[in-house]
Parts: sequence; C-alpha cells; structure tokens
Amino acid sequence: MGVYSCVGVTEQSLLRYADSARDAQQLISQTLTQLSGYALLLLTSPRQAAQAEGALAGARQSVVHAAEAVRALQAPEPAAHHYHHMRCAAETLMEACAAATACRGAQERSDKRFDTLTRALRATSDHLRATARLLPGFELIDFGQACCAAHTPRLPGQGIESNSRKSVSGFPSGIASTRRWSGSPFP
Amino acid sequence: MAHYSIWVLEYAAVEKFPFSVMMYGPQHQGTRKLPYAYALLKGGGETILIDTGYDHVAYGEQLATAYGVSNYHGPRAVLAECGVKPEDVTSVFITHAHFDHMGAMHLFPNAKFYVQKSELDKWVWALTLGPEYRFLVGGGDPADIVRAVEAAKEGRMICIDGDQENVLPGIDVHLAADTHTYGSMYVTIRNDGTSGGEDRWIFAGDLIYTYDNLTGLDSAAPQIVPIGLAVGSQHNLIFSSAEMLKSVGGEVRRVIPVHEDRLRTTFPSRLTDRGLQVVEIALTKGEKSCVA
Repeated sequence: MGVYSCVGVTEQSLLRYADSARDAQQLISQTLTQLSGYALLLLTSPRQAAQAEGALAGARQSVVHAAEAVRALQAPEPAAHHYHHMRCAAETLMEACAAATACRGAQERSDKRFDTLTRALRATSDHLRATARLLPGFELIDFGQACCAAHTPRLPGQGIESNSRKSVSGFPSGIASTRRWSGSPFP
Repeated sequence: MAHYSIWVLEYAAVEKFPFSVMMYGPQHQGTRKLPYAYALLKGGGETILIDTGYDHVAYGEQLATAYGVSNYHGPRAVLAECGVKPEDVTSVFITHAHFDHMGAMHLFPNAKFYVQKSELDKWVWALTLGPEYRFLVGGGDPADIVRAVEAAKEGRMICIDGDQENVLPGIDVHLAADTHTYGSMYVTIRNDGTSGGEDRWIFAGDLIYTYDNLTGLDSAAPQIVPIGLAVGSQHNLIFSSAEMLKSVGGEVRRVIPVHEDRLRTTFPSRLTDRGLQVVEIALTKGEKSCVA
C-alpha cells in the first residue's frame, strides 16, 4: 500500500480496493498460467495431457473463486477502469477454462476448439496486463529476483511485495506450500 | 570454412551491475556493465536467433526506472545492423524462460521456437505456486506462456526433451537441468559441420555471465565459479560449465556469455550509432562483415 501513499492517493476505499483486487489478480494470473500450461501440453505433448486432468479440475475451481472475488470487489470511481479489466479478465478466464475442457480429445492443432482457447487465453493475458498498467502494485513479473534486475532495491509496492507479505504471514498453511514438483507441469 | 556467420547483438544494458550477482562469492567488488544481448546466426538458408530479448512496450519503463536498464532498442533496429528483419528469422533457440531471453517471441512471426520441455513444464508449475515461492519464477512473465501457446497452436513451438544433435545442421542443444533455471539449455554450433571438429562455439545462455565464471579471478589458480543466481544448484552450474569448457577443448573464449561486456574486446566489434555493440564471432565465405 505504501506506493499509494507515496503518490498522495489516500482514499481509503481505493486502498481497500487495491488490497483485495491484488489477491484476485494473483489468482487469475496463476489460473491463467495453469490453463496455458495445460493448453501447451495438449498442443505439444498430447499423450501426456491426461496427467494434467486433476489440474484442470483444480483450475475450474480457481476460476469460480476468481469470479467470486472479482464480483465482491467494491471499486471506487478512480478504480473503475481497473475494475473493468479485472471483470473482463475473470470473464475471459472462465471462457478459457471452458475452452480448455472442450479441447480434451482434440487431436489436431488445427481443431477450431484450440482457436477458441488461444483467443480466451490471449484476452485474459491482455486484461491482466491492463490491470498491471493502470495501478501500481499490480505488476505481473517479479523483477526483484530476476537475474538481470536483481541489483536494485525495489520501491515499496513494486512487484508483488506488498501482497506477498500478507501471504507469507499465512505460510506454510497455504495450498502452495503443499505442492511439489511431480513430473508434470501441474501439482 | 564456417557454415554460419555469427554475431552477438546488444539491445540494452545495465551500466552498473553488481559483480556479486555475476559471480558467486565476491561481495563488495564493485560493478560491471551488463549488456543484454542475443546471438544471430546466418547460414544454409537459415536465419537463427539464440534468445529473443524482451519487448520494451510491455514493461520497459518499469525496468528502466526501477532497475536501471538503459538504451533498449527493439529487434527491428538491432537486427538491421546485420541486414536482417524480424520477419526473416526462421528459428529461435530459447536458452531459458526469463523475460530478457524469451519475452519477445511475438516479434518474430515466422520463427520456430526451440525450448527445453522441462523449462516450460517446471516454470508453469512454479508459476502456479503462491507468492512466497516467487524466487523460483523471478524474471518469468506469465504472458510469455500464453505466447508459447499461440506459437504451439501455429506449430512453431518445439519442445526438446534433453540433449539433441543436429536440431538444425551443425547445431546441437544440451539440457543443463536445475541450474540457473529448471531447464536451461546451451547451444553448440559446430561451425565446420563435423562432429569432432575444433571450430565449435557454445552459447551458454545464463549458465555463465562472464568468462570469469570459467576461469575464476586468480589466473595462477584457475577454477570454475558459478553465477550468483540459480533456482537449481551451484553444483550443477559448475559441472555444466565444465562440460561446456571440455567441449571446446578448454578454449574459454569459445563459450560465449552474451552478458559479457568483454566480448567486444575479445572479438571484432563495432559500436553502432545507437550506442549498441555488434560483436562478430564468425563469417561465412562471401558474407560481408558487419563490424568493418
């Protein structure tokens, strides 16, 4: 939240929105990645796609949670544009999830179902990127640990720092802490 | 006779990068310039890149203001120094999935992309973990996996599982598992086309940042010293470095770290009007020098 104070925006409703929206954005981003990984597996190693069925089921649940989280957001007027992209990201993520489910059994990458899937993934990614552009603290890449950018202390609120502090306080009880590499892109 | 002309093309830089990240251990030893660069190969009807660089439009301002990345130029301007357009690129080897190596796939609309399967698989897995695990995905852009899907849809994404010879004529790839990243790979150019020939060049990705990783800092007692940033192990980085070095008969200059500023003094080079280095590693017969 510090970054909002830095730029002089102190309206509590905006701060509350940003805090909640960041969690929802993180969930959308993670689920998008999971669905993209599934799509990549279908397109490049279709024989292994069956390994990821459980992950697809998990993604379906996450999509619902993300949609609920976005619906619950109360966006003040200054965040209306941001909220628009959050809502669109959640909607297109749902479309992507439905499309990924429909792609099961698709044999050829020319199958029209893959067109629907890639369009929905692209739309979600673009909406997420818009959310990252519109408000500070919503960046999607953690440059703080990137090899070529690991040299400069970040400003408060850059990357996912502010959100992750909160998450770390819950560690290790979170779902993520139970996940281990299992030989497929999905836990 | 060289089969491929080879250049290393700088596209941005961090002017003052801590040496302690480039090399594990030496704290408080100042900074070096860290160029961002990719390699261009031309030969046999192919125009090949090793890594794509990143797209400044997406997050360039953030990188510039927060991390001091300066003088970014897109591939159209950079490749033009060698008479190449992004549309001409036929193949791209992605050494690993960090933003500055894989973040511009969409700018090469006709290229096929070669990447290690384990790099994508484990990266996708790690990206779905919670933020407390973000060290594992630092530098990875979720949008890049969507671009990978789009390329796969078009039949332009080739996932390689381990080592593979002659992916393209005279070009081999090698998996360096659990090193800098989960599935980093290095690329060997056998530029005389033979399997046992001496004219080999290795593009190391970020398995090394500097020649000093292969030699250490004490010339009287050479040693391999790994880079300062890995999601895998220092052990694996050291042995990957040893393999690369062995493959070129111990000739350090033939293991190319694209982030090494001293490439410009090791090989013929030219500073462009944009302030970017063009480094010329090899030329095929009849190919015009880009640094003369």
